Amino acid sequence: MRKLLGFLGTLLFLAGLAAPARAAEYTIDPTHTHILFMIDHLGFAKMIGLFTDFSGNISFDPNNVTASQLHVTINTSSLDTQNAQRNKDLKGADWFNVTEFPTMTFVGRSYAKKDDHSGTITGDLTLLGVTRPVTLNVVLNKIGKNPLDKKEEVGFSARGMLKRSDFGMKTFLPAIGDEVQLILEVEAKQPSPM
Amino acid sequence: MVLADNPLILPTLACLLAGAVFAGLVRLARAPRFGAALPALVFLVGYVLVYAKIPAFPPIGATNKLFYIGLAGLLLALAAGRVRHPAVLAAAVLGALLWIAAPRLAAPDAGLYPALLLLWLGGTVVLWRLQAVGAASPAQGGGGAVALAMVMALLGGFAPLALAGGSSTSLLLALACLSGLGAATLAELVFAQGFGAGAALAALGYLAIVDTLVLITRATDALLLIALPLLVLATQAAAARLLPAAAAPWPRARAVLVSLACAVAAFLPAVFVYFRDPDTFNP
Repeated sequence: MRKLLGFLGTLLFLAGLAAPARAAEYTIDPTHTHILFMIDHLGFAKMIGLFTDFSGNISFDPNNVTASQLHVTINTSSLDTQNAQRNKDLKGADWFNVTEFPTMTFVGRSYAKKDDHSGTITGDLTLLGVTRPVTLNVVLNKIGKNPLDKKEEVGFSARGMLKRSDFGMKTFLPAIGDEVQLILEVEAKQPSPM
Repeated sequence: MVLADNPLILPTLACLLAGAVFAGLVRLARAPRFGAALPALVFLVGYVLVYAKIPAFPPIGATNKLFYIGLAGLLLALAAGRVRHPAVLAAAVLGALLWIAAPRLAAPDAGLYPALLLLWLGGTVVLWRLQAVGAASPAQGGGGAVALAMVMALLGGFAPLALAGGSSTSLLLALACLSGLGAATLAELVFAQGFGAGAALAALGYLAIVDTLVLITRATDALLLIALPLLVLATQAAAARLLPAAAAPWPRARAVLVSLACAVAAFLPAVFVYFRDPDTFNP
């Protein structure tokens, strides 16, 4: 009996060694995540807007980046450009049309590692009912335990660009720029251990 | 370069050109029946230049549907010689309205059905009155020029309300179309080709902008949008009755006076908005 238990113990130990490392699951921390965009205004300067209501999940293993997963949903009615009249306009039917398209989503499809701290994510962005690929250049800032809440956390900075006309948003072209720069600062946490 | 800098200039010039050329062609061809399509033609030209696209069919989203509603208005206006029954107007307004409202009908809230009813009744009354005014004689304070001027007054009054209601694009489209309709109104006033009653249906696209603003953008002052057509229609009716009989021998002067009265009435809601909150119209 003792031999049998010893054999089973060895088997379980070896099985544990042979199993592939699983990617950690993170949930985007809305308090410390910022999703901004910049767009040319008549050639004078860039207008900056941000979304304040979003959610998302990240599945990430630094040793197996290509197996990562990312899904972000943004509530388009949370758009803010620091001007009430402009917010009203941008949420209206001519721009983000938040009544008919209350959310925009980004789903990561392919992940490429450039070096230990940077890479690209190419995913499908769905905006105004149109889905187009968008590539983000991503820098992994830090991964580890948050010293305050002791949760495992990962932090990224991402930059990208899209053409709004690709999504059918052609209002005021070319006076208002077609290219939209994306700026994302993301912190995501693992759930508390049970 | 200047054209690209100001999003208003190109659509305004194009609509002006479209209105003037089309009115000229109708006169040269001696085919006033086709003149009924003019408001819709101007609308389509303005739409393509303001929104910078001809949307794919089937359209996704209310602003893309606007183009096809304008196109339907054009076809209906061309066929209006045969279909002038008020039921046709009501059906056309309702069809456009329900198409715009479709996403909200899937999950209706308390305010949706009253808004639909008001927009349907209001839109039908506006088209019906435009048709009646267009069919009336200048001596009665009506005629094609007055009907077109009433559409212009409605657009001019609507433009600032659109800006206040969260659609600077609707403001641009309204202003651009004003220039095209202005050219047509002038041609009608001078040549009296009889653009006639059918032109009312061509205003379907303009009504759809209002529908979109109320149902989709949902940031507009509904009471002012209701007050606007009431003021213009009531002013036309009152001016046509109250103008001194002495003006009757000069029908063009009568048409101009009625049109000016409508224009003044149309701007009252915008004046109200300005005095309520002067910052509303800051660019």
